[in-house]
Amino acid sequence: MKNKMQKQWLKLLTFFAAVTVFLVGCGGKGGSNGGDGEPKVLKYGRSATQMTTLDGQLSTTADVIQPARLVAEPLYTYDKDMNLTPLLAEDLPKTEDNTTYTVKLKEGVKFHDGSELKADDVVFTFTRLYTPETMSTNTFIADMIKGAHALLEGEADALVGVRALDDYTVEFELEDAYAPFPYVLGSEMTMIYPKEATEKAGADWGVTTFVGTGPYKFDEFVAADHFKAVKNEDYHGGEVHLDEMWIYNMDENTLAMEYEAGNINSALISNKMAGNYADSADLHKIEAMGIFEVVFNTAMEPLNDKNVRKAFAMAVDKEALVNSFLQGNATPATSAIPPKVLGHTDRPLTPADPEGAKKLLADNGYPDGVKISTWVIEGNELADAAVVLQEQLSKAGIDMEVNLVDRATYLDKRNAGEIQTVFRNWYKDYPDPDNFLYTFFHSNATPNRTPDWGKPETDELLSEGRRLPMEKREAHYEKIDKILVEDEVATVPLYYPVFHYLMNENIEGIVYVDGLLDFTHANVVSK
Amino acid sequence: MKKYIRSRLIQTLVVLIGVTLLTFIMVNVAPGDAATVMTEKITDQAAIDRINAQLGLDKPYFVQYFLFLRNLVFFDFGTSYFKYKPVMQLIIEGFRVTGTLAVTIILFALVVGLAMGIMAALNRGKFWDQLIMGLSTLGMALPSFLLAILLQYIFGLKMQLLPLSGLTSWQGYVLPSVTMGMICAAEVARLTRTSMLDVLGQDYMRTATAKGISRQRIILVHGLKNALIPILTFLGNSFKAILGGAVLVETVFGLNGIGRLLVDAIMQRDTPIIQGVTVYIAMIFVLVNLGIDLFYGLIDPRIRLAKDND
Repeated sequence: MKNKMQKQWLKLLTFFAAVTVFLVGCGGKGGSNGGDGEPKVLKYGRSATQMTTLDGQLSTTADVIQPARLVAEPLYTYDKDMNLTPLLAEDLPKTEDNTTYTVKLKEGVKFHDGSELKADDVVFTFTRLYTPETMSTNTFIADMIKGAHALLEGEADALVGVRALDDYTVEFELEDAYAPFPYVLGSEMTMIYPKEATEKAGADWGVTTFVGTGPYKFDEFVAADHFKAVKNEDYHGGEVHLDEMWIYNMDENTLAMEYEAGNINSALISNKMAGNYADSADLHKIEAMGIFEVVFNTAMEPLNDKNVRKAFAMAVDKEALVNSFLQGNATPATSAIPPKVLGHTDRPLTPADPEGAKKLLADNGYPDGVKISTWVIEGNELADAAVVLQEQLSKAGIDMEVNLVDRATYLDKRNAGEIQTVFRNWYKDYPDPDNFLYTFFHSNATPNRTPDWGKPETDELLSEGRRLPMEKREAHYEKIDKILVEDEVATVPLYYPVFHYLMNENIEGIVYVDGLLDFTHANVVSK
Repeated sequence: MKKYIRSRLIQTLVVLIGVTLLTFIMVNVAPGDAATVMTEKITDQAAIDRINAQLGLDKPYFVQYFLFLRNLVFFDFGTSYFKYKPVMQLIIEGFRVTGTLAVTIILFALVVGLAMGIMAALNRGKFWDQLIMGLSTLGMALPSFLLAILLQYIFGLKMQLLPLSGLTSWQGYVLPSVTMGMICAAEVARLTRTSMLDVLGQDYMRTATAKGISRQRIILVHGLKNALIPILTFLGNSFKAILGGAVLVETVFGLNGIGRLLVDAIMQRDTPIIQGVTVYIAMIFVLVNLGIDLFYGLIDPRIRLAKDND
C-alpha cells in the first residue's frame, strides 16, 4: 500500500517537473543590448489606457503622444532648457509683426514612405486639423491661424492662413498678433503628416498605418496594449541606436514587476510607487511643467465672495500636502504660472492659518463657517488631494463635500458649470503663460471649463498679453498672476508636479523634453 | 425537444430586445457622453455640437435606437468612437482572449475541483478532507487580484517561469487561468464533496458495490454522474460570468479581453461598444443557459422526460 502511494507521488512529482521544464522555455519581454548580433531593443512601460490611436490630432494625452512622437515630428522641438529649436525647419520662424510667420523647411528630409517633406505636407497637416471630418479634439491649439474657425464651421473649404510659398517655405498668417505662436509649431498636436500617405490611409491613419519623419518607423500597434517601432536608418536628426523600441500599456503593479523581472528596461511610475524605489539608482525624478490648483466657480454662492475664497486659500496647508500626502514628490505652488515659464512669480510660501481664515469668515458674515462642495474623478491624484484639503479646510470652518465620480460624469458637470470648487491639473501644451492663463481665465476660452471666470479686466489683460512683443510680456504676466492669485484669489495654486521613471543602468540617452521622454538617441549598452 | 428549443430561442429574442432597450436607456440617462469626453479640451460649443452631430448623437433618441436595431440585424454595431475600429471586430478580438480564458479556467476548475472534492468525500472527517476543505475556504475567500499579484510575484518575478503579463505566447494564459481557476476550483471542490457524500449514501451505490463493480467505476460512473448537476450549474454560471469579462484578471495580466473592452467603453461613454458588448453578453447568457438545460437532460433522464412532456 505504501509502495503504491509512493509511486503515485512520484508520478505527480514527475508531472510537475515536466510542466516546469516545459514552461521554463518560455521567454519574457526583456530588452536586448544587441550583443551577439541581436537587435538592440528598448522596452518602456507606462499606464497608457488611452493609447488607442497614434494620431496626435485626435488626442492630447501622453498615452498617445508618447508613442506617436517616436514616428512623427512637429516643425520645432525644445532643448533641455526648454528653448525652442528647429527640428524639421531650418531655423526659428521669422516674423515682423507677430501676425505673419515664415518657416523655412529643411531640405531633403524624408518621410518613412520615401517621400520628401514639402511645404504642401505642412499645409495639409494644419488643414486636416481643422477639417470637420477629422474630428480633431485639438482644434484649440492653433485656432489663432486665420481661417481656422471658418474651416471648422464649414464656412470655408481651405485654411487660408497657411500657405506654401514654395516647396520649402510655409507662411502662417494669424487672425491677430500672437507672440507665442512659434511654440504652437513645436506642439506634438501639430506633428507633420505626409499628405499622400495620410489621405490614402483614411480612417486607418494612426491605427494600422502611421508615417512620419521621426527616428522610428511604425511596425506594430495593438490599441491600449503595445506599440512597436523600428529604427529609421535615414533619420535626418542623427544616428538612431536602437533597432526596436516598444511601448507597453500596463497596470502599475504589473509594470513594477515586469521592470524588476528585467522584462522591460524603463517604466513610468506614479509618485506613490516611487517611494518603493527611493534608494534605487534606477529611479529618476523629473520636474514637470504643470500645475495642480483649485479654482472657484464665482457664479455660485458663497464663492462669489472674495473673502470666502481668501479664507479657503489661508486654510490650505500646501507644505503638509506636499510633504505628508505626496511624500515630498512635488513643489508647493505660489504662482498660477509654473517655474521656468515666463511670468512666474516666486512668492514666499505662506503658512496655513486656519484660525485667521475662520476669523475672516466670521468678520464677513459667516460666523458658522461655510459649506461648499467639489466633484472629483475617482482614482485621480486630485481626488486624494481633495480629501486632504477637506480635512485642512474643516479646521477653518469650511465644510467641503467631496463627490467622487467617473471621468464622463465629471466632465458633464464641469461643462454645465455645476462644480463649485474645481480641482484641476494642467500640463503645458507649450511653455508660455498664455497656455496657463488665457486657457482658464479668459471668457473666450472658458465657457466649458468651470469656472467661467471671465472678468472684463482680466480678459483685456490676457488679450493684450497675446499681442505684446516677447520682451514686454514678462512684467505683464506677473501683473496678471498677482491679480488672479493675490488680489482676486481666482485660483489657489497647490503644487507643481513631478514625474518618476525607472531606467536600467545599461540605458543611455533618454532625455526628458517637452513633457515626454525622448528616445531618439536612447541606447542599450553593456555594463 | 425541438418545440422546447424553439420556445427558448423566441425567449432569447425577447430578452435581447429588452437588454438593448435597457442598455440604450441607461447609456443615455447616465451623465456625460462620448463627445463630452472626446472634447475635454475644446471650449467651443459649436465644435462640441459638430462632433455630436458627426457621431449621430444629435438625433432624437428613438431614431438612434431604431438605427441601432436596424444595424443589429446585420450584426453591425458601428465603429468605436475611441478605438477607431468596427465594434464587431473588437468583440471578436476580445472574445478570442476571454473565450480561451473561460475554457481554460473551467477546465482547470473541473479537473482540480472534482479531484479535490472526490478525495475529500472519500476521506470524510480525515486529514485530507480537512486539508482540502481548508484550502477551498481559503481559495474562495482570497480576492482574485491578490491571488493574481501573488502568482505573478512567485511564478513571474521570482521564478521567472511564466510571463507576468501580456499574450505574446500561449503561456500568457497560464497565470490568469490558474488565478480564476483556483477560485472556481475551490467552489467546485466543496460542491463535489457535498454532492458525493449525498450520493455515496444512496441505495444504488450499495447495490453497485454488492454487484462487485470496481470502486473506481462506482465512484466515477455511478457516483460522480449523479453528483454532477449542481457542479454543472455552478460551472455554467461561472463560464457565463467569465465570458462576460473577467475585468480584474484581464487588467492585472494586461489581456485585451471583453471585460476590459466594456469597462473602458463605459468610462468613455463609447456607446457602440457598450451596446455591442451588452448584446454579446446577453446572447452568451441565454445560449449558455440553453446549453446547460439541454445538458441536464443528457445526464438526468427525469429532466429530459419532463421537457419532452412540455
